[in-house]
Amino acid sequence: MSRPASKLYAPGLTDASITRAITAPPIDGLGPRWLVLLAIGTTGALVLAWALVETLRVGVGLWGIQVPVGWGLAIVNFVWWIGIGHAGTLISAILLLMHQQWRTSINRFAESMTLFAVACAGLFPLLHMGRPEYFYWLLPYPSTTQMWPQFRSPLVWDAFAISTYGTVSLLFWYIGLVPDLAVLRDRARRRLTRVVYGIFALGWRGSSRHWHRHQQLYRLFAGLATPLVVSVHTVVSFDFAIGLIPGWHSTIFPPFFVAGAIYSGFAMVITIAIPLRWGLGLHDYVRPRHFDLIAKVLLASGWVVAYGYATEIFVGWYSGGHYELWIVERKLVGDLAGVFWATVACNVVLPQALWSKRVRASLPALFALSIVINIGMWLERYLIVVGSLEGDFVPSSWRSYWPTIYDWAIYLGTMGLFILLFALLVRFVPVVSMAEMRELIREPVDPADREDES
Amino acid sequence: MSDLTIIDGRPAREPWQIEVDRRDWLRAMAAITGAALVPGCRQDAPEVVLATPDPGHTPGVSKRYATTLLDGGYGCGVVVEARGGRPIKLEGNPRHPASRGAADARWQAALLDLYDPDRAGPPGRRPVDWRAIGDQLAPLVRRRGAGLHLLVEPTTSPTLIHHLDAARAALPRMTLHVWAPWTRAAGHAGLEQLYGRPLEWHHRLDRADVIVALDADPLGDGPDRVRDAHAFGPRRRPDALNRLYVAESTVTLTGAAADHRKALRPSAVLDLARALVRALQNGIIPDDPWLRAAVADLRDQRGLVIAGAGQPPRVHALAHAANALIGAVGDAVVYTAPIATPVTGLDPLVEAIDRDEVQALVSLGGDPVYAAPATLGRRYGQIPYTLHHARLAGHTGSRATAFVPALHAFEQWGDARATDGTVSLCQPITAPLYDGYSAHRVLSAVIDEIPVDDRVRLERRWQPTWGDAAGRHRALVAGVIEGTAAPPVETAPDFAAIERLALPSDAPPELGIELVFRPDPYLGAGEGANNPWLLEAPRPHTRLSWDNAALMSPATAAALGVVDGALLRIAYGAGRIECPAWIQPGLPRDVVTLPLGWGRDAGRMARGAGFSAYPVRPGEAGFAVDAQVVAMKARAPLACVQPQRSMEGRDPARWHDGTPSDDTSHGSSHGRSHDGTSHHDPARAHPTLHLERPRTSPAWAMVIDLARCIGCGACAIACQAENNIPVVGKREVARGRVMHWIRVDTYVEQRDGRTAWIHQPVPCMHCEHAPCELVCPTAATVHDEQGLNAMVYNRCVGTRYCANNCPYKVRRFNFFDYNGGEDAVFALRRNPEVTVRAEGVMEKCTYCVQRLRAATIEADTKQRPVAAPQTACQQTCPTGAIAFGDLTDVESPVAAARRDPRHYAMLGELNTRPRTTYLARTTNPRSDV
Repeated sequence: MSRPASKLYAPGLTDASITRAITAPPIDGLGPRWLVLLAIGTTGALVLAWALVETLRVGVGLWGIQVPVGWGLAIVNFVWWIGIGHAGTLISAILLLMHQQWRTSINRFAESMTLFAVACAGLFPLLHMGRPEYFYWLLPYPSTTQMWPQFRSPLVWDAFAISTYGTVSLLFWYIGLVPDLAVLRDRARRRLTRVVYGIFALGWRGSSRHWHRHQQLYRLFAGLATPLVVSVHTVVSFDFAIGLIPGWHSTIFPPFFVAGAIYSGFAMVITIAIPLRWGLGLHDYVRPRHFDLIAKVLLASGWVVAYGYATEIFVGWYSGGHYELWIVERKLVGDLAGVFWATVACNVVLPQALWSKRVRASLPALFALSIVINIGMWLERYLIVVGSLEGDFVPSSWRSYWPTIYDWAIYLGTMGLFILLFALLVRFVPVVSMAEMRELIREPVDPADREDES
Repeated sequence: MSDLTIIDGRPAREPWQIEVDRRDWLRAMAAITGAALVPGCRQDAPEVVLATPDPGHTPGVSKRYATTLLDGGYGCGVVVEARGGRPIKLEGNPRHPASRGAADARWQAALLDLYDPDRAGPPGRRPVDWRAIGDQLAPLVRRRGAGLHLLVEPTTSPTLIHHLDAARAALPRMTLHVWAPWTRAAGHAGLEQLYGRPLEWHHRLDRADVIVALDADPLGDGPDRVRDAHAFGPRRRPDALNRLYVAESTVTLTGAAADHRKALRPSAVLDLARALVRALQNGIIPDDPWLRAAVADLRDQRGLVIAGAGQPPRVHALAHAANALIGAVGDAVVYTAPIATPVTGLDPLVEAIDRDEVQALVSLGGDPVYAAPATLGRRYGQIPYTLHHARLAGHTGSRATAFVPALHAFEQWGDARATDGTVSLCQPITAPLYDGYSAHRVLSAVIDEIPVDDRVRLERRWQPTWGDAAGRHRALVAGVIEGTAAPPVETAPDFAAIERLALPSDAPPELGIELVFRPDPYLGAGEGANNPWLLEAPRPHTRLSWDNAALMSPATAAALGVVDGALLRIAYGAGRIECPAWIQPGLPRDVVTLPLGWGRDAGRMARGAGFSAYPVRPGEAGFAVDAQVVAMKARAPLACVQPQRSMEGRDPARWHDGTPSDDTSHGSSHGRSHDGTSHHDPARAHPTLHLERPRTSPAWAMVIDLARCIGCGACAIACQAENNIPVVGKREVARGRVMHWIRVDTYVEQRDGRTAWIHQPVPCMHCEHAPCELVCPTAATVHDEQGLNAMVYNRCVGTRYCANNCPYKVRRFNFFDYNGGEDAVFALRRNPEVTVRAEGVMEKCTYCVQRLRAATIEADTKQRPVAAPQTACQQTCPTGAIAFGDLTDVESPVAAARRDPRHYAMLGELNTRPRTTYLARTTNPRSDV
C-alpha cells in the first residue's frame, strides 16, 4: 500500500468497519457496564432534583451564602462548568478551521461535553437567584412596564453570552450529527427507532447537494462559534473584573479566564476520553497520538494560567494598595494559603510531569492528572469567588463561608446529571463522527501524524 | 414552640418561622381582630389625650400620645405613634427629663413587648378568677393581714405608693417587701451613710468638665442612662470637651468612652475610692497615675464622681463625699428628697418563710423566683398560697398558685417620677391586647376593697396639682406634670465622718477569681428576656447575639485554657452554673463578668437563649470574690455578629488627635483640596468617568460623629421598629444573615499600650457613585434626584451582586421568608408606610425614605421648602451623634459637619462619594499621663 499509516486511527479501517463499530451501541444497545453508568448518573440527577426542589421551595437560604459572601459554591460551580464547556467548541470549531485532523475522532464527544457542561452551568445562575421566577427580567423583552435590563451589569452580558454560546454549540453539534443520524435511520431494525432517527436526520439522503450545503453550514457555524469560545469566559470574567472587590478588580481576568477554561476543558476531555475508549472499545479511533496532543495543549494552557497567577501576585504587590496587598498576603501566607497553594500544586506544579513523554503516553497518569487539574481549577474559582468576598474592605464584615449540604448536593448532582447525559449520549448517538472518519481515512496523512515505519 | 431544633441541616423553627398550631392561630386571630377592628372603629376613650393636634379619622395619618415607660420603677417619658389604634413606634418625650426626646434600645423595644404573644400565658391558661383569689386571701384579711406578705419592685409611682400605704393601713399586720435584682439601693444607702437621712440623686453630666466613674456606667445602666448620655454627647464636641476617667471591673459603654480607663478588680474599687477621697481631702498625691491625674483634674475643674450600682454602699458614700469635697453638689449632682419606695431586700421575707409565718405571698412585677433562686426561689414552693402579677409569667408565675397577667404601659393609666422627681403620666393608647390587669386591681383584691378605676384613681391624686380640666389636658398632652420636679435639698457633710470613711483598710487584697454581675445592656436584669429585638441586638462590646457568655480577658482565658465558646463550670457558694466563655479584651485579670437577665423562662423567644447567672450571685451583690471557674472540654456555639474586632491596620473608624483629618492613608493622596483650605469635601475628591449628577435641593446626607457615639445600639433598634426589619434568630445570625440596616461596628485596639474601643454606626452610605447600582442587572437599585440610593423591591430578582460589590457591606438579603414566618401578632406593630420585604429580595437603609417623602409632600402641598425630617436613628440617638439634612443648605447642621476638620469619608479613596460620612473620634487625655 502506498498510503503511510497514520497515528490518528488504526490501520485497516474501512467505511464498513467504521460504520459497523460506531453504530453498534445505538443499534444493538450496551451491556452491564453502561447500566452501571446509567445508575450512577440517575442517582446523581435525583440528588440534584431533590436539592433543586428544596431550594426552590424553601429558598436560597438553604445554601451557605451570607453577607459578605453573597456568592458561594453555586457561582464557583457555574464558572467551573462553563470553563469545562470550552474545550468542545474549541476542538470542533477552531481546530476544524485550522485543519487539525486529530480533532476528527474526538470532536463528537467533546462537543457533547460542551453542551452538557453548559446545561449544568446554566442551572446555577438561575437557581442562585432569590426570585428565580423572574429570571427573564435579565433579558430585553418588550414589556408593558417599559423596563429594560440594566445593560451596564455584567450579569446581563452573561445572559447574552451564555444563551448564545449554548444555542450555537447545540446547532453546531446537531449539524455535524445529521449525516450520522441518517446512517442510524437506515440501519435501524425497529420501526420506532427508524422513525425517531428519521425525524432528526431531516431527510438526509447523502446527495452531493446535501453534502455541499452541509459543509457550507458546518464551516459557517465553526466561524460563528470561534469568537464565542473566547467571548464567553471573557464575559464570565467580567462578573468579577467589573466589581471593585480586591481579588476581583483585575484587568488580567479575561485572558486568564479563557486560558483557565481551555485548561480545564481539555483536562475534562481526557477524563472522559479514557473511560469512553475503554468502555466502547474505541481503541481504533482514539489513539495515543490524541492523548499526546491533548497533553501538550494542557501543558501550554497551564503555563498561561500560571502566568496569570504570577501576574495577580505581582500586580497586587506592585500596586502598593493596602487592600490588594492584603489579598496577596492572604493567599501566600494567610487564611487562603491552603487553597492557594493547593491550586498552585494542582494547576502548575503537578502538570509539569507532562513534559515527560512517558507520562503523556501513560493513560493512568494522564487520567490522574486530568482529575488533579479539574480539582485545581475548581479551587482557583473558589479562591476568586469566595476567598475575595470573605475579607474585603471593612474588617467588621469579614466572615468565613461554609457550604451546606445543599451546596454540595447541587454540585455533586450536576456531576450526576452530566454522567446521565453522557450515558444517554453513548447509547443513542454515535460518539465518533462516522462521516468525518470516512473523510479522514481518505485524506493524505499529515507528516507529523505518520506512523514510524520501524 | 420555638425551640431551635434542626432537622436535616436546616432550621426547623426559627423565631421568624414559628409554626402556628390551632390554638395559637385562634389566639392570634382574636388579637388581630381585637386590635385591628375594635380600636380601629372605636374613638379614643374620651379621657385619652393626644400629644399632637388630632388628625381626626384621616386614614394614613398617625396619632401621637405622650405616655411613660417604667425603668427600675422610675418614669421614662415617651411619645407613642399609633395607626388605627396600633402603637407602631415610640420616641423619647422631649419634655421628659429622663429622655429629652431620645431613647435607648430597651425603650424602643418596649413596643414589641406590647404585642408579645406569650403575654397571653401558657396554652390553656384560664381567665383570672378574682372570686377564688378573694376566697383564698379572705382568712388573712380577716386577721388584718397576718401571714400575708406583699413583695413589690421599687416604685416611684405616687398613685401606687399611695395605694400601698392604704393597703398597709387597711391590713396593718401585712408585711411589705420591696426588692428587685438590680436597683439604685446601694446609692441610697451610701447617701444615707454620709448624710444620715434618705436622699435621691440625679446627675447633670453636662455641667461636669471632669467625670470620674468608679465602676459606674452612667451611660449604659440605670434609669438615667438616656438622660446622662444626652448630657454627655454634646460635651464631646472639640470646643467643649469634658474628660472622662473610668475605673471599672468590666467593659461598659462608659468605660469604652473614657479618656483614661483603668481596669481593676471589683473588690479593689473601695480602696481606690478611699484613696481618691483622702487625696482630695488631705492633698496627698497618690502613686497610681490614673488616680493622680483624676485628682489633679478634679481639684482644678468642675468635676463629678459617680459610683456604680454594683459597688457596696461604702463606695457610694465615698463618691458622694468626694462630690461634697470638690463642690459638685448642687451643680453636677443634685440631691432631692426620696421619691422611691425604699428597698427592704429579701432577707426578712426569707426568714419569715423559714419560720413558717408566710401564709400567702403576693408579688407584683418582676420574676423573683428567677432572680433570687437560692433564697426565695428555693422556698417559693413552701408558701401555702402564692399570687404573681407580671407581664410575663416567668419562673415565678408558672410556679405560683395564681398568676394575674399585668398590662403593658401602653394599656393602662398610671404615673411615675423621674429621678429628679418630675411626674409623668401613662395613658392607655390601645385597648388591652390580652387579658391583663393593673397592679391597683390586684392590690384592691388583696385588701378586699371595691376596685376603683385606675383613671379615677389617677385623677383623684393629681387633680389638686393640675387644677381644672385645662390643666389636666396640658399634663396629658405634655406627658409630664410641670413643676413637679423635687427641689434640691441642702446637705452638710460631716468632714470628720468622711475622713473615717476614707481610712485605708488593713484587709489584704483579694486573690482568687472574682465574678462581676451586670445587667445585660439590652435585657436588663431580665425585663427584656422575651423580646426578640433585644435578644438579637448584638451586645456593644462582645458583639454576641441571642446569648450571654462569661466574659474574661485574654490573659484570664489563657490561664484557664479557654477559647471563645468553651464551656465553663462556675461555682460560688452553693450555686453552680455552666456557661460558655467569651474573650473580651479590656477586662482586668482574674475577673469574669456574668451578664444577668438571660436564661429566664419568660416565653418562647427566651427559651434556650443564654444562661442565668443568678444561681452564683450572692444576694443583690454586684460582684463575688473567690469563685471557682473550671474549663470543660465541650464548646457551645455562639452567634457573633462581628467576628473581626480589630481594624487590621485599616481605618474605617478614625481617631482624631487634634491635627486636621488625614485622608492620605494607604498611599492615596487625595483628601485635601488644592488651596489647602478646610473646605474640601473628601466625599467628592477624585475625578471620575461616571456621570456627574448635579446636586439639587434637597440633597440628603448624614454625618455621624464618632466622638459622640457611645455604641449603645439604640439606632439599630429604632431603625428596626421604623423599617419593619425582621428578626432572624440565632442560627441565621451565626451564618451572617442579621438584617439590621444600621449596624454599630465596634473595634478594639491597643492605643499607646491601652485597650481602646471605637464604635462606628454604619448605615447605607448612599454613594453618589454607587457600586451596587452599576452591577444590578434589573435596575432594582437606582439613584433618585434627592441623592438616595433607592431599592425597588418589586424589581429585585435577588442575584446579590449588589451586596457583593458594596464595599461597606450594608446590604441585607432576605435569604428566607423572614417576614412571612413572623408571628401574626408581631405583624401588628409594622409600620404601614414601609414595604414588608419578600423572600429573595435585597434591602438596606433608605435614610427612612418614607419620612423624607412625607416631608417633601408636605412641603409641596404647603408651598414651602422641605423642612429637615429626621431619620429614625438620628431621632433616637441619646448623644445626638447623627446629623442628617440637606447638603445644599449651607446652614444645615449636616453641611456644617462636613466642613469640620474631623470630617472624613469611609473608604473615600474608592471614589464612591458617600453621602454618609463621619467625624473622627476626639479624645481628651491629660497630656502628662
